[in-house]
Amino acid sequence: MTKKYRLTPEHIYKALIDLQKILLDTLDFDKVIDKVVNAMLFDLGFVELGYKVIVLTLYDEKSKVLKRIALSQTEQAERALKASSVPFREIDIPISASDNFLIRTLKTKKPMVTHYWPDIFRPILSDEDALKNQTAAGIKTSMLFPITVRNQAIGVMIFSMIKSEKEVTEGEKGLIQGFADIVGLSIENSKLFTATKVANEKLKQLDKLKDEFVSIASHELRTPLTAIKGYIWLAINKSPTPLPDQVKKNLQIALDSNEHLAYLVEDMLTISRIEGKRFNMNMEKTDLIPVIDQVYNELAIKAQTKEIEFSVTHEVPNCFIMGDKEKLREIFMNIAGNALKFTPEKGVVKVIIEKKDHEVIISIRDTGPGISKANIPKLFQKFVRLSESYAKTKESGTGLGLYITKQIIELHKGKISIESEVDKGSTFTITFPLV
Amino acid sequence: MASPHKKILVVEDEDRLNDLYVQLLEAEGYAVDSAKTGNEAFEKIHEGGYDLVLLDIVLPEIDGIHILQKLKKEPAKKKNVAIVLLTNLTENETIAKALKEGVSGYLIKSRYTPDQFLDEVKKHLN
Repeated sequence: MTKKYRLTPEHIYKALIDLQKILLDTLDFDKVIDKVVNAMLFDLGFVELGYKVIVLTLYDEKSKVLKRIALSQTEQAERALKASSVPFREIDIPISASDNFLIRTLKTKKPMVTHYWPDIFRPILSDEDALKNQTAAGIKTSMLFPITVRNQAIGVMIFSMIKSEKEVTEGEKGLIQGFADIVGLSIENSKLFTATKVANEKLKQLDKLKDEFVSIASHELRTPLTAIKGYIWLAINKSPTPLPDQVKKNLQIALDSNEHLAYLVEDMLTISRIEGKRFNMNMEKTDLIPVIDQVYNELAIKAQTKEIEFSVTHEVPNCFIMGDKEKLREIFMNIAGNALKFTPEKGVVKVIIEKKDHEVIISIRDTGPGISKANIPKLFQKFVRLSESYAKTKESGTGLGLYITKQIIELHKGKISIESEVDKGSTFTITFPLV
Repeated sequence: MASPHKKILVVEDEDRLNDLYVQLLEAEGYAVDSAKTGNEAFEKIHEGGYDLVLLDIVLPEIDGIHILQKLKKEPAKKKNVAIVLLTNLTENETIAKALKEGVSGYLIKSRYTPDQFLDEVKKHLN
């Protein structure tokens, strides 16, 4: 009946390592429990040693019952299933059933043996029915091993065989005990993994909801913002009677504040698109030089009014990168615009374009107030407010511009960095891979 | 006053925006008519005779795109010179779809200041 299958300590060690690998490679709970009841029989050949049915039971804290979770795929198991008057999944043994050997094993955390199946089916099946199942499966002996995790019993494994207890070698017992320990760990692992997966999914959903909310809210805000802008403009510019200066001034402040709010809404919408990966970019081979020249032309008037020496220098005729022309324009409008905004009158703002290896490096240097070392890491965060720069300018931004700019640069596989010295100025360096 | 006697139809379902555009355009001396729902808009556009129709996309009953498609099957009794989209949608797809249905341009409501809006209107009238 049983093949000679010698279990040396080396053999046990190797077998356990193999089982451990099989179980720990699997993280999904359903797959783990399936492997738990089948790996030992089939992968390690225990079926040849007379082991025919392996059952995994786990204790459920909530309902206070020991539940049958998985059953090996063997013909003996199949026969027992057919004979049973209660479906496998419904044989839930209450923790109070102290005459049930499974419950005793769970409570004492010590292995037990029985030749009489009513011991492991009470009180769900009558003794008669339990014996009927045992006869159908042709089982002589069942060994019960506790499954423990961190010294806590979480369930019991039933190893049923067609031989007597005397025929079980110490080697087999050692292997089964070792196996039960690995089972505990792998079940715990897979439970944690499944819980993490579920939590992760939930977080992703929440993130998506937040994103959609910002997107819809920003969209809804546009209509009233447009109306406010229009009506204040009408009040200032189309008033049937001339307005007192103070009223005009107050209305202008309202109009400017509304404009600020509108920018904020647009920036938030942009961020929600970037973070929700819905930011559309029209990528094409683009020459950066005309893009930067256009930005220069748009900003030149502002530089003139502040008497700032503003220049763009490049020694190369062109600089092709993969990019979205409009988005690239926004990047340089933001960085060069900031440089002009924070540089005091009669200062200098220089834009230098160079090619090095497979990159284009654009540096934007200003003689503005500079940013302290402590504040540099905050610079590219959302809603950044740096006391030193804002104290010296009347204009205020949304606090989102640099964050958006950095995100868009990174979507172009580029990088942005800054070097700065307080009271001397700042240099922003942007690099993109050339094509 | 710019281009007096030019007839403009404003299609906009938001009351406050509708009134705003009407006031802005009337202050410039245009003859302004307005519609606030898709059905009302279609009836007026179908009667026709406007120098410019400013057409919102998101409308109750029938949306702007459907109005344009319906007009292809039932052309206006009196020709409308130009139809321009009035929209907050920056989604290029919707705009591209409308451009295929025969509009001559689009205005993004939230983007323009009122004087820029009036400039754009003037451009489309010429």
